[in-house]
Amino acid sequence: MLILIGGYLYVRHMPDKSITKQAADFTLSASNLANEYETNPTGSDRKFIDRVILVKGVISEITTDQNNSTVFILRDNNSATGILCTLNGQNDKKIKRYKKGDSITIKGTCSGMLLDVVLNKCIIIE
Amino acid sequence: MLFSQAQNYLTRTAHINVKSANKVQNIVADNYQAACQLNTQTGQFKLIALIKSFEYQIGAMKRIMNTREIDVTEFPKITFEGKIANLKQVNFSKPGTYPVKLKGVLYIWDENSASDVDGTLTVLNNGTISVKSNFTVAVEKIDAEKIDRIMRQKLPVSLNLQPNTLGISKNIQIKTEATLKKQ
Repeated sequence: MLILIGGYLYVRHMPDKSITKQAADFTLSASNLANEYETNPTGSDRKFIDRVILVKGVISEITTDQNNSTVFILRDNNSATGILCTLNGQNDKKIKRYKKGDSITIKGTCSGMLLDVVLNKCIIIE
Repeated sequence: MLFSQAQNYLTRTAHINVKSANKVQNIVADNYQAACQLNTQTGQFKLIALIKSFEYQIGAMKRIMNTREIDVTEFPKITFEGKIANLKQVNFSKPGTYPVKLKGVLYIWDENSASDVDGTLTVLNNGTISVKSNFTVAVEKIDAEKIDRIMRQKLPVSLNLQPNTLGISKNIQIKTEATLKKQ
């Protein structure tokens, strides 16, 4: 299924412009984004999937994925749902300045929600 | 020897790689944001991944494609869940690599199919668990008519594409790897 979609896209489409140049469709706190998804998962999918989101929150976890990209999980006030942000649109120097407990603003594209709300192609704004 | 207690293991950054080789070039899709849970007492596992987290690369040029136009709100994720069928052959207290048989159900779009997958499970010295598997899905299993209908519903009307004109190979190769930590 995925491969057929990939093939169709090969025939028809150009790559996205980089996230740095895209304006955010939504700006909200990690807790507000988590809350919207917890309250209305299907509505939130319709609202947020593929949209560029500017999210501000506290870093509760830092990890590295299987592609060696840094992943920050933002979680305000110990809420159950975090915002998972994969920093694969960003250079390394800025990432290393951040540690657990820091407040941060990140821009990324929403893919939906698994255990957390998932943002991809993220960059650090401040 | 201490008896290993029931533990839930988890990762939010499992990797799924899907590859289809056709006559012209390879189509590869990677997802580095899959979540995987494992209960070491019951052997139950669950792997979930968002369709929109897949990044496509076409051919040797590695061009990244835009997937904005696919509407996934009805079925935003794929799931593979089940049990380790040979759980008794895995010793979670002893570091080492164990062959595992994953028996479960694969949910893609509105289809589900029973799937048996072979993999390896490695208990690492630092207490984490690494699980890897490579398997092949035969394209015959997928109903071509249904894919055509879904594509027409979910993709722009300007498209008039038959699945077989893409020259997709008979088999799709899937690799997964996950490093899970105790919760």
